[in-house]
Amino acid sequence: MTTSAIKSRPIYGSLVPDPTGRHHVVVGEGPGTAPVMRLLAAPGFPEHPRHVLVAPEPASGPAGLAALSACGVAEIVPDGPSLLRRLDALLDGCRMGTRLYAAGSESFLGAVVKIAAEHGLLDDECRTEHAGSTARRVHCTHCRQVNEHVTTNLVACAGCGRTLFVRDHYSRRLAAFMGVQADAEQPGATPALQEVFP
Amino acid sequence: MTPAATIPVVVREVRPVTPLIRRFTLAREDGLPLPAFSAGAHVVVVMPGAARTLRNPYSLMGTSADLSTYDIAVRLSETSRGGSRFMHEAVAPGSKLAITPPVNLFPLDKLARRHLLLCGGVGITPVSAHVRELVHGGVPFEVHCGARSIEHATLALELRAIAPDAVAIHLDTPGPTMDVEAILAEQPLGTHLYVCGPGGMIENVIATARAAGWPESHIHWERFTAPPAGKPFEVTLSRSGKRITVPPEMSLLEAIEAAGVDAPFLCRGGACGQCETTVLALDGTLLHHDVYLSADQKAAGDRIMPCVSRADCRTLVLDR
Repeated sequence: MTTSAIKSRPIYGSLVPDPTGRHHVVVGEGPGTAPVMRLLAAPGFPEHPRHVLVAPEPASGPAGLAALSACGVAEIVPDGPSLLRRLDALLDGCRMGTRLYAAGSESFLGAVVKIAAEHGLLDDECRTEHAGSTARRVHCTHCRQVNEHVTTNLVACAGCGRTLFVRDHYSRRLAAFMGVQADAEQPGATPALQEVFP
Repeated sequence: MTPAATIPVVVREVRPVTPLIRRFTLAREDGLPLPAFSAGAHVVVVMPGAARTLRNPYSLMGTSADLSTYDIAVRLSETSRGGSRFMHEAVAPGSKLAITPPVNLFPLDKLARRHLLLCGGVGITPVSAHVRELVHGGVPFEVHCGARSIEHATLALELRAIAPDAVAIHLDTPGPTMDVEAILAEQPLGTHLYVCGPGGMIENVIATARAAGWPESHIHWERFTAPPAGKPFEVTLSRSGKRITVPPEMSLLEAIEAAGVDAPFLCRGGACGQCETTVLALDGTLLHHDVYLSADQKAAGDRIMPCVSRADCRTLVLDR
């Protein structure tokens, strides 16, 4: 029950240079560091001004990242939340002509796209590439608690304790998937627990 | 879709605005309120010309706050096919006309964080409505109006009185003219660009915006192309089984209407796509003048926008 025809389910592409942009903001989190490195090395990635923000996995990160950081190509931030705060401030000062590229977990991409939308960026200014875990941010439709890093089809809501079924229905505003009480139709009848978003 | 029923209107007031532009205030003949509209909407005015019925699109300049009247501004075209000349010479207070209900092909984008509006000449008319809507909203905006000289800038001065901090006026004489590149260079993220004016101005602004990295989703324009005159040509309307000749000064759509065939339309300016008609057979060349079809669609030659486009052909069969 992980794939469905629900159209709100985001579709991710791969990071390729957009030569029509005049300024490029590139962000990567965790496993998203590798796509960022690939983009920066892509032939023809425009020689326009660019800002690169990366939150690599603790104590790792692909080879070469330290070198990029050392020569000032990338700004290394400690974790995803700090990166998002830094991105928000960075976009405040950006002009029309900017393109945004993001790579990382689905939760991270959702948060980046939400910040981008709050700055008025539309789909044709943003590129996303999914990397790493497919774990979801799940919004409880009953108590509005957001449950992070959900990898299973069912999750006990941290807010109200209900067993939620994780739907493919995605909210850009909340940057989260909808979770609804699993046995709402037939009390006690819940599907088997499965890890479906590894 | 067939054209919606027209609304009979009476001209309440005619005021000269500039040496070339007149403003017309229209009210419903039956005294009822006119339909509500959003800023950027236009109506098609149906004029009972001596030789034939004329139909021209004009932007609504006011707001929906007062629906007892609509205001439109008409620039007398040097190359008038009859419409603007009729409005300037034959229409006076008390004249009876008809209009189509408003349609908006040039709305403000609700997701914009900032609006940047550029207009030239009579292209200020939809922007007049936009500004009147924007002064009540919380979204910042900036307007640049181009005009030949101060006596041609009456509507721009009116807008500057409504929003003194947001409206800039650029006069060709004495100058300096609008520096589009400088205006577009420093716009914050989330700005939407709107442009209305002469064809050359619109093309220049769009090209400058693209070169500065503006994505298509943030660029909006409205251009009502007057149907260009051309050589006469013959058309077969297969569905209605009629064979018609399109005279030099009449558009294909007007010729279809004159033959008593009901054809869809909205903007009558090659912009909206409503009148798109399938070409069943063609021996010759389609002369596309619209801004709706893509270059590939135009090259394919299997459809035509009869409101502005013509043909240089021996045979043309339309599915109409």
